[in-house]
Amino acid sequence: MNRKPITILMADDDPDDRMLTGEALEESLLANDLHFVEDGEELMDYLHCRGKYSDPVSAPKPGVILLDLNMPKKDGREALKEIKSDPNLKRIPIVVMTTSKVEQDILRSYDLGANSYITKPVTFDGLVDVIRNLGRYWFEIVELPQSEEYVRS
Amino acid sequence: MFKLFNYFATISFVAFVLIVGPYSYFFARYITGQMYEAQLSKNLIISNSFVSDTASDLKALSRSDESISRVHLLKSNEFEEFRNDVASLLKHTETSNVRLLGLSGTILFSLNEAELGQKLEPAEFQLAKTALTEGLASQHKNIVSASAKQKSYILSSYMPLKGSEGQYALLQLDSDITPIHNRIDSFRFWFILLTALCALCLYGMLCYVMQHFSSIISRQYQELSTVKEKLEQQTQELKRSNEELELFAYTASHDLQEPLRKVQAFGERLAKKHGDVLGKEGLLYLERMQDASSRMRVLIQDLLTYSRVSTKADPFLRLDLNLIVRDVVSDLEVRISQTNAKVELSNLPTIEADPLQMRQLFQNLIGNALKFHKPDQAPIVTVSCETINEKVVITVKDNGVGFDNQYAEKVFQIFQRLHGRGEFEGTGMGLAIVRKIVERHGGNISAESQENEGASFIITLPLPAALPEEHKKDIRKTQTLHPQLA
Repeated sequence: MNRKPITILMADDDPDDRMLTGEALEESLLANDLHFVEDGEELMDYLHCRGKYSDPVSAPKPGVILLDLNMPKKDGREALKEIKSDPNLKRIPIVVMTTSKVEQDILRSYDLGANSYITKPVTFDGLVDVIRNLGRYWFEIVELPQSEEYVRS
Repeated sequence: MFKLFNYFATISFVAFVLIVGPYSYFFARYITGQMYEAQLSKNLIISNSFVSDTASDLKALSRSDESISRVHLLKSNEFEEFRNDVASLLKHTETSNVRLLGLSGTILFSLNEAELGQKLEPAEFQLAKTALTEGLASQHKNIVSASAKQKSYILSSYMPLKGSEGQYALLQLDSDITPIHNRIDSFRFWFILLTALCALCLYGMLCYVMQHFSSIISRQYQELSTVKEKLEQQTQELKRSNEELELFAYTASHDLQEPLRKVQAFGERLAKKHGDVLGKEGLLYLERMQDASSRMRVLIQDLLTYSRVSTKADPFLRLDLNLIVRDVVSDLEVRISQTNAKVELSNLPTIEADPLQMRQLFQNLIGNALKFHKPDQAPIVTVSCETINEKVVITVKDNGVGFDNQYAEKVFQIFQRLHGRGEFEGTGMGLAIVRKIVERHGGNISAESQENEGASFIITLPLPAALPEEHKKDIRKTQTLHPQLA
């Protein structure tokens, strides 16, 4: 693995889930950098380097986004739609990770351009599994557009 | 309704006019004819007695020459005498005038002195002459008097007078039949008036009755529509509150899952990271907490499934139940082989249903049949089917532990369990979900069981209305293939 570990950006309003995901990442022995935003507005600020996310060192470009659907202010569906219709951002893989198992949410997410849809595992071990597999898939198996320097507006 | 009545009234009025008009006319004519006959024969009698009483006078009078003048006549003795006789004779009769006519038409005698000695009008004389040949002639005239509008009706009869030397004169008797005519006319008038009044009264009554009934009907209709409106409103409200309740159940159970997930996840973290600090007893407590929360999760999930039967329902499709049940059985393959179970399926019909829900229904029923088996006996599950009155009756029967039949209705309630958690696992939602699915499909379900005698669950579902004939035949064939099910 000579690749530089990618930054993971997690958008989730639930502090427990953020904490558990952080622990699961630790547990799965992945060396990725994990950043959090708490709602859709913050997510868009992060991606567009606005406000407190204007420093590219503390807020590096994410290689993959873990997106919760139900969030305050701007929810995941709106954020997803916005990202996938932005030519500068649409290549960032988005993994929807939510509690909803509703068929409509799944279909809608894929229609809007989500790259994966995962329901949050019930157990912590399950979560570790998911993170580990995600890491393997997105950081080892999949070839991402490396050369692309996404333009931060 | 009123339009119909109006048509009826118009038609019957026309019929009334057509019947009563001609009838009264012909009746009056008949009566008038009878009156004339009677008056004529009366005239004849009067004339005869008149002739016999005054024969000599008449002879003497008629002997006077044709050329006799009015002055001569008035002067003659016979005339005076005769006039007195006539006046006394006609005192109590309807006779208005008596004329004695010569054979050439000269008026030899008349009560009206002005016409004495004059000749009769040719038309009148023509008639008088027929009496000479036929013996008697009569005619009636309607005379409108100039002074008033009153009409007078006169019947004139002519009788030839015979002597030893043959006919020598004519006797004309004029009778006033105006009173009779008037009587008949007034009878006709009153007859028509009374009948018309009667008919009008009848129509009035009929109208009133119709009006009354129609007002009753319209009032009742109004009441009915008010009730209907109210009912509709209530239905809407009920529907809305039902929807709210279902949404509430769905949202609540969905949101309840969230914290539970955290409890489990952090419990796991606690056990893993700090297990050694908690000690053996602490870990046991933690395990029990974990168990309880996972049980609660299943409960919530079942509740969610239950509420989704109506909130997250799919539209009905034409569905071969055989395929559904076969799928379910293959899903349960592991449990079937674990328990050495035997599942016997008979041919099932095609119905219109929600595929996922039908799957859930048979999953729950066959799953239950496998679960509640006797410890020493391998489960045998039969799924059979028959059609009764355009309805399909599917029975899922097992040879398991069964239950007291007094619980046959209770088993379908939510969270209803008949066994301890140690005996059989489960939340008590399975059959509640089954019932809700069956009811959504317009059917019903009942249970029959005896303790240790197995249980039967009988589902009745409507067959699709426009089911092709061959399908029905298929179902009948199934019945004969499985006579034990009938």
